[in-house]
Amino acid sequence: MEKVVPKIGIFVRDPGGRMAASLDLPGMLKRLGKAKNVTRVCLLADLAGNASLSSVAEGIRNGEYDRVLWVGRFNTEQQKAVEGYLEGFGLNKYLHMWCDIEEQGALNQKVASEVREKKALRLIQMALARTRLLEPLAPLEIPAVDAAMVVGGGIAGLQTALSLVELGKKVHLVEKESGVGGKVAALHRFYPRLCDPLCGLQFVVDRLRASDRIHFHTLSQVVSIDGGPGRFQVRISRRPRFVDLQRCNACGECVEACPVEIPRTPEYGAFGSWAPLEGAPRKAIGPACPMSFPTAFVVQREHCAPGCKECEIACPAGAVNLEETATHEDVEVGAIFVTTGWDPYPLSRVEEFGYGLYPRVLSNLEMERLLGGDLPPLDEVGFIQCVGSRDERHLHYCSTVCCSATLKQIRFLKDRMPHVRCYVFYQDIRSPGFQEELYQEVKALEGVIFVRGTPSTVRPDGDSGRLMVRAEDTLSGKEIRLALDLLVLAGGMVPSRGTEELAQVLNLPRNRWGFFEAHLQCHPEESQRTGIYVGGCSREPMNVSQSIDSAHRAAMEGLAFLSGTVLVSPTYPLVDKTKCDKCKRCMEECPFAAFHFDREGFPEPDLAKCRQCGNCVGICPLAAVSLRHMTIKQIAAQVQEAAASFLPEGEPQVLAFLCQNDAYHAARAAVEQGLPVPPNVIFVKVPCAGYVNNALIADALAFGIDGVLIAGCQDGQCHYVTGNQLVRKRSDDLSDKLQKMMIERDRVRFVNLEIRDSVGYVELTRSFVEELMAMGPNPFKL
Amino acid sequence: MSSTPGLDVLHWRIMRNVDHPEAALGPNREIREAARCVQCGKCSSGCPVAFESVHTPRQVMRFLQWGWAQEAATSPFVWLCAECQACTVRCPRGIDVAETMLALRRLARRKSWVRPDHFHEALEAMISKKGRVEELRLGVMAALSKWPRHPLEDLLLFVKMLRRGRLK
Amino acid sequence: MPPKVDREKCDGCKAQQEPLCEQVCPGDLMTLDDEKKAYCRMPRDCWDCMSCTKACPVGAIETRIPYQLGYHPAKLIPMMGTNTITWTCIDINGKVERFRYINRGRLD
Repeated sequence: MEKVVPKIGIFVRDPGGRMAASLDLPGMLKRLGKAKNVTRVCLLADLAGNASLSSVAEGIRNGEYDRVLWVGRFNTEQQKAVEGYLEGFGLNKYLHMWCDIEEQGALNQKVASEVREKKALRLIQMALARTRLLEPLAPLEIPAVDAAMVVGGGIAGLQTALSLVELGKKVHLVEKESGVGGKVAALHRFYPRLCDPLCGLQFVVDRLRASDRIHFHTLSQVVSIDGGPGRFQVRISRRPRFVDLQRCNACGECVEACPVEIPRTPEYGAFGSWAPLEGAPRKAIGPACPMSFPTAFVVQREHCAPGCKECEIACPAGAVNLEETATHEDVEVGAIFVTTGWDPYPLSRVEEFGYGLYPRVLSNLEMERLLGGDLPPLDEVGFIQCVGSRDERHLHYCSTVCCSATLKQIRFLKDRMPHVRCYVFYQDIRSPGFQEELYQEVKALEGVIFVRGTPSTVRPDGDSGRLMVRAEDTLSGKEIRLALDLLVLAGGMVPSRGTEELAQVLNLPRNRWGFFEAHLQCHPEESQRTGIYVGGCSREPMNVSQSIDSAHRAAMEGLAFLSGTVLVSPTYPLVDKTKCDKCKRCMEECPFAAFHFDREGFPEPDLAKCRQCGNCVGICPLAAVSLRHMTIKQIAAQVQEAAASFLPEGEPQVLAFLCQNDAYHAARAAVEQGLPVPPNVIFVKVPCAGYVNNALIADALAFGIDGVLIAGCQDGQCHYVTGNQLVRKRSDDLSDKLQKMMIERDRVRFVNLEIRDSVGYVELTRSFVEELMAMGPNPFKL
Repeated sequence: MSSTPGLDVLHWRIMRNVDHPEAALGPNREIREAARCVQCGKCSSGCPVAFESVHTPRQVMRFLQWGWAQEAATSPFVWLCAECQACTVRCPRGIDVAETMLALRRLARRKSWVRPDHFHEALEAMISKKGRVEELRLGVMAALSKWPRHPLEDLLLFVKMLRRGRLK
Repeated sequence: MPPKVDREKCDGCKAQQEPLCEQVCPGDLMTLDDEKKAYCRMPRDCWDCMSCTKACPVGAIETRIPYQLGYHPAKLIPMMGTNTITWTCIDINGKVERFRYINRGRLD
């Protein structure tokens, strides 16, 4: 392969003569003209109007230089305009280098002029070193399927599907039950309007049914995925329905004929237990649950009598097929939305309240069913809040909805039975925002008493079936003893069954409570896997309006991968296969699991999954991974230039790697605010502190730099999740080695810096320089 | 509410301790655990003696949250506590409430906020000196330690019991 | 003398296929023990080439020098840059010498 000899044109723009005032500009330009590979050096008048730019373009056209180094202050808009203009003359956008010497303090009048001059030259030499190694690059377009998959057919899933369908995308909705609707279909009333939830659900479902872009996969689960964002290959397995979706018209003849009656269980989640209490018994064949959409019936085969075929015989449409087997289907989708929702926390685990022991102790969900049917005679009803939630023995978090749910139930109960007395045993009433009105309304109702104090146990009141409850009313310090006809436990939410298996299949991290991990608070629906989004209660307990919000947000975030092509910036990682020894560290440490093995067993990034943070570059023990346009060679060349001395004897030289999300802005602000930043520091901007490879630090020290600083985000705030922690550990390891080598370990340090902490930046650089001065020069200064 | 300080004293207490309520509690771990309490009242609700005393266990925890260690340790509740553990088992914050009561008893003793009665003193003295209890000697020592009141009271009791036929 | 592995630092290269020291050792002497920490299986066969020391990504390996350069306390420690290797040599008297090499071979 022919080696390309770069030809560089250097253009300096100095509006207002700021640089000329601080530096010997003509002298500097003359020296630069003699640098290696530089074919032209020019001071531009101004870039306003294209007069200056066209002179730059001329040099490109006649081949005088094939890449450009700009020196001066250019904002992003100006950079884009210049790159765009010159692209028209054949100069690739990635063959520009922008060097701002002012942000590094090179024009600071308070610093001695020789230091200023030398530093300015050093900075430009560093930029030159990188410019020599630049390559032309073009963005990639990865074809993307415009179909999406939504896992979970509750309110969040249905809303996500609707949002996507209305934007013209095809949706595969995968639901493990026989019908959609989820937990909301089991509720009796919503707050705050106390309307029937089925109304809202029906509305969404009707609009989905009207679209030809949605495909419902009920009785189905995701069993495996392959590929990446834009083109996930997903395998769905479907349990048999035993009823043909096309033929069944829900006439109900089969139900009449079925000889098997399934006993009602009080447990939520058993077949039929969320349907309103009716006279009709539950049979082995019946409508889909929880919502009777898809309209076809479903057979619960495990309840069937052996050899029985009554339903098949009875069906006038011949829709029943008891021999149906499980099938699977493979689909290709651009993005996956996880909306698998929640399950109630098993209240029998909160033993002190006797759930499961005493028939009159109900969960709040069971209360919903009761409120929707015939109410038994009631005089005294108790509600205990925070059962299982906010409790270190059970769920440490607050389940968000239970306070408002109880208030709503009381409101409804009092409407139906005005004489009933209700007691709410609470720790705090959490009804935020406009729900405060609901709280005030319920509190003012006659016969509703709020007791701030939680009972410790529940005992039966003799044989009456009633329950004895005793609590301290903490607001008065008095003892309260009550005999209740009914006790409702406001239980908490846990992630639904199947969440664990799904997390394994999709390789999705979960937080310590088992909910899908999300990037709070800027992108709550984004997961740590590019192209997979999490919404609704699968990511945090929330009420219905919040679930709908969350669902819609997730749909919006995922659109990027559903638009025919995925545009990938060309600055993606590249693995040098001549150096890589397949140790897999890059694969292990990538926060987004973006690497997979190629045919030869080398790690290869999936360009759609990759978020181009550069952590792979940092972790590779052989420095075999680079980011295009920011290769290891380029930065190593910059480091080598940075090591050349520009300070007087005895002054330590510091190289800082600043992460471009937080630390870089703090440093820049420090200069702009005129703070006394020590001139000893030269910094290099990196996409994430995790980009910094130990080999680069070793180079810096080997070439004589006295101290190396790496600044990244605070723990828990790193934009790329773990970048800051990874580099901290690596630099610690290197410090240990330095110590063995009889070099002061503190010459290399990692610090956390927040975006506006310019004062912090000045303080830490100042104290670092002081410490280095006390340590003396780098022993490697040979 | 007789053991709750009067309003002006309460005010003075708040002014004095509100800056460092935890510092006032000293290094004892059980007592510092009170900071995690949310005052839900479950401990009181399950406590068999909570409402026999002027304070409930929740109130005692509240005193500790304000740094009123003496208030807490001298509360009669602390000495009524039966160590039944109903509070500890139910606490949603995982606080060992029963152990806190014991720690408060120890604190009260250490700081001499309570003095044991003469019988207890005699018992303690005997145990630390001899390692065990000799009942006859103990009885005599107790009687002598509050001479002449103690034996006289016993004499009166003896007569009363004899009269009511309770002594055979 | 065989390489010495700092068991606290060694993470067994996450116990993937082969740890880096095992991959690079020309005598196939380094391997993982039951606790997934690296160790030298056959100390007598070690050539002191120090490839393992250079390759270890967390710097857990230290080579002990057998020659007259120093006895047990003497150390020879490499620090790997992108295209440099800097050696620090500490002899038994504590005297330190450093050598920096620019390795043209690493970055063509």
